[in-house]
This record gives sequence, C-alpha cells and structure tokens, in this order.
Amino acid sequence: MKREEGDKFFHVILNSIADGVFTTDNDGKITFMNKAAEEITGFSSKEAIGRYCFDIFRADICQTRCALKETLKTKKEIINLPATILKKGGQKIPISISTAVLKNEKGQIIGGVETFRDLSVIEELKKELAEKYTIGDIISKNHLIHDIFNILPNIAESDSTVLIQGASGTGKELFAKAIHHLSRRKEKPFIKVNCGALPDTLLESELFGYVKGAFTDAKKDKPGRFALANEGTIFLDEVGDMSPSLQVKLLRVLQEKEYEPLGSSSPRKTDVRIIAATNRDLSRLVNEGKFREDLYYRLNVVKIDLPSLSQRREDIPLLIDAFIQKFNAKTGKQITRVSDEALRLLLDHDYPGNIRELENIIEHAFVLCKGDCIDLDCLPKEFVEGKGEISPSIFPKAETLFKQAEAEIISQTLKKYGGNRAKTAQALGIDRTTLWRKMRKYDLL
Amino acid sequence: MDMKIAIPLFGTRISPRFDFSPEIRIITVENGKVVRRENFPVAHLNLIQRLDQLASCGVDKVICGGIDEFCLNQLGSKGIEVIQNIAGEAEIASDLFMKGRLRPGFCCDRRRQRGFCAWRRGAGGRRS
Repeated sequence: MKREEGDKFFHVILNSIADGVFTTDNDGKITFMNKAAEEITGFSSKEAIGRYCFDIFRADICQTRCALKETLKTKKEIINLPATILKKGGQKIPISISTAVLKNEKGQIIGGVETFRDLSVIEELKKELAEKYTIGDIISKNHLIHDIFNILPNIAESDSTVLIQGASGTGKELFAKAIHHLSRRKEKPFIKVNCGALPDTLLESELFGYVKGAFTDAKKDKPGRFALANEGTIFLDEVGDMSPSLQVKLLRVLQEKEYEPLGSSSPRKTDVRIIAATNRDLSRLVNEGKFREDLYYRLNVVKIDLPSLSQRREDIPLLIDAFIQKFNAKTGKQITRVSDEALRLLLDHDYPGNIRELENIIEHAFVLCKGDCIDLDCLPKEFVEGKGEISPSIFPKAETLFKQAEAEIISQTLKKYGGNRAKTAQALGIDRTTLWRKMRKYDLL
Repeated sequence: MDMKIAIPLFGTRISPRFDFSPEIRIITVENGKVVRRENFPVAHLNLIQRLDQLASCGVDKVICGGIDEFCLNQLGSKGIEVIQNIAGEAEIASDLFMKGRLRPGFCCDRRRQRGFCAWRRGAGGRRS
C-alpha cells in the first residue's frame, strides 16, 4: 500500500470510531483531529489544527497536570484519566483521557496522541444516584437567586444554623446540599430528615436513635440521624411540622450541642451543622403559638427565602433544557427541542408546584414523546386542557398579578391594625365575611 | 473612557479556562489609555471568591478563553461584560481590545516570520 493510500485509510478508520482522537507535535500543537473529537469539543478540525491543544481541549487538568505533556516526558501511556472539558459553547463535558507517544519510522518521538470518551450520560446518572449537587447545578438567571448565590459561600463557611424558607418544589434541598458542598464539612455526611413525613415518636427515634431495651423491639442500640451526621450536616426538612415536644429537644441540641437517645439517661455530644427548611411561614406559626419562639430564633440565624418559579419566569427555558438533558441521560432518548406551541404553554403556566411541577411535566412528556421534539400531545392532558387559550406572553397573567396585589394589601392592612379583622374590613371597605373568605383564599388565616 | 479589564492568565497567554487560571491581570484604563497593569495570583481562590474579587476590584470587562454558563451568568449579574473564547497572547488581546478590534473567538497569536501581531477568527463565540 502506498503511503498516501495508507494515510487515507488511517483517517477513514479514525473518523469512524466513537472516541475522540487528536494528535499533537512536540510543542503541543494539534496536527490531526477526528470527527468524534470535533463533536465532543465543538471545534472543527479546521479551527483546531495548528492551535495549542489546551486552547481547544480546555480540560480542567490542562494547566496543572497535562496528561499529554506527562506522557511525552515519561514516555509512559496514561489510561482512562478522568477530566472535564469545556465545550466551545461553554458546556462542561466529563470525559476520560488516554494518551500515548507518536513515533516515526526511525523510532523518534514526533508528538503525542490523545483519545477521549464522552462520559456525560454516565456522570449524569452517577450524580443522580449520589445526589452530589453543587452550586453550579442550580440553574438561574434570576437576580433574586443570584443575590443568594453571592452570599452562599459566606453562609457555607460560617457554620451557622441556616433556615431556608420557600414553597414546595422551589429547591430548598438543592440549596442545602450546595451549602454543605461549599462548607468545610463537605467530605463528611449530608443527612436529610423529613420532619413532616414521620409520626412524633418515630421521628424522635430517627433523629436521636435509641438504646437497647428502650422499647419492646429495641433489641440493640440504633444510632440516630444526628449521630450519622456527626461532623457533617443535617438537613431538617419541613421543620415547621415538628411537634412541640420535639421542638424542645431540638432546641437543646442547638443550645447545648447534646441530645439523649431514646431510653438513655446519659447525654451524647454532637458536632453537626443544622440546615432547616420549611414551606410554612415560621414567624406566623410563632405568632399563632404553634412554633416555639426560642427555637425559631435559634434556627433563624441565617435565613434564605427562595422565590417561587412564577417569580423567576426567565429561568423556565433554562430549566426545561436542563430537564431534557437529565431525562435524555436517564432514558437514553435523544430529545432535542420543544415545539413552539408546547413551549408557549410551558412559559405561560403559573407553576403552583414550582420547579418540581415543571420537572414532572417534562418527565411525563418523555414517556409519551416518540421523536426528537416535545409537542403539545406529549404534555399532560389536564395541563393542556386546563390552559384554555394560549397566551403568547411569558409575563404573569393580569389575574395573577391582581391576586398577588390583593393578598399583599390585605396582609399589610391586617398588620397595620394588629390583626383586628373588623377594623381591617372597615378600612378596606369590605364586609367582615368577605375579608375572612379572602384571608382563607390567600392562606392568611 | 475609564474602565478596568480583567484577563485570566496562563503564563503570558490567555487562560484556556476562566475557572482554572492561576493568575489574573487587571488593566486599568483612564481617558482611553492603559495606565496600570497588575497581575494577581488566584490559584488559591475558589470560583466564588474569584468572581467576588473581580467585582470588588471594580472590573467592567473580562477577556477570557472558555467560560461556563454559571460563571457567565454570575459575571452578568455583577454587571461585568464578558468577551469569551479568546485564545493567544494576553498582550495582543488587550491591544486589539483597546483598538476596538477584539471580537469573541479571536486567536491572538504572533506571526513570528512577519514580526507583527495577527489574529484570525478561530474559535467562534459570542459576546454576553
């Protein structure tokens, strides 16, 4: 076989494989790049050839421990080194890298070859399993969220107790995990307890554990979540649903950093950072006598108020994209877009269930979608039928704005008259029964 | 025209990644002229601290190589404009910027044979 034919043959083979391949000269400048490498990096070989490999490849290891440089220096191959590259469009792609030296007929080293495999799908699934989310996983262009981003590192470093307030599905847990992963406790456990999901006695034994003989079935000691979270972070979700007796016990942990397992008479010391979350207004529960004031102040050292999805509508397209990527990885489908009609409907919705509701809608669409585009007929029936006429606007409907304004006015007037409904109704020029009805409607009772 | 420009560095070149640059150059421009160039080590800072430092230094523009969506949004929220996907020598990039000729995706490498600066639209990109 002639040399030219051999080169052509060699290029056809390299372009037909799924792994990315590029070669460099001894200075690290790219001399060849195959089709898969073009797809994974987003750069065409025309753009890449003659450029330094770090300017094209843009891996997190390029500037500190370049695999190719090391191979050229040691003459030793590197196999399956994990790294993350930055695609031309700015997306991070997890890959595994293998490197080797290139020699000519005389055995002289003329450069290096790097092969790499796109691990996006595997990494997405791993992340889902390990639930290892960081601040970079919170997707938002909204200024309220960005204000939170700005203070999050300081909050994480401080070790103070954090209270996260926000409606269901606004991402309270995601923020709690982001704080944990930014803190000095990040290598230690992150333990979640849903205080609203368990009956009182069960929750107590879940939180603090029990000792052998504490009750009939307690045949051996069982550590509680506080013990499991030692030196790490405990995330107490729905803390507003906790009973008064447990509130006292939690207060003791916060004040004295100690607790007693069920059936034990000796206290145990604990070194745990507490992040509490609730979808209820704790200050109102305090006023109503349903939540201990001293506990509220202990929890409310640093407070984060998460906006609802309807307050951050500009994030809906970003979130739709992120969920499509997530479910593509999970289901193996290759959905790439949403039809204009479906997108208009998704943008126009009020999302009382917030981000979780949007995620569920996209998941539903993935079940029904057969092609590469999410169309109207892939969306849940009640969602499509409940919409009526589709509005092209992405802004809140006038009705929603009116309701928000009405609720705000009632709440402000009630505050002004110290909660006196008769005076409030008189000031607003409405009947007391109407006021009560509206208070119930807006959850102000 | 007064402003501060930040360029994440990798040696004398623009760092291929905004988030992994060991050093950042801050260029102060007063009345349309460069009056100061200072390099700051940032390898010890985490991502959020880097972003905060740019904002606290009063940076108006960032000229960088690759940058992810998160950093781009964070800089945008701090009112910092980003010219991204720039590769090559930081000095050439800042000169081109001062002449109003730098565009996202430029490759600012020196052509040794001819002895003058040259650029080519290499990597594509967008101004945010």
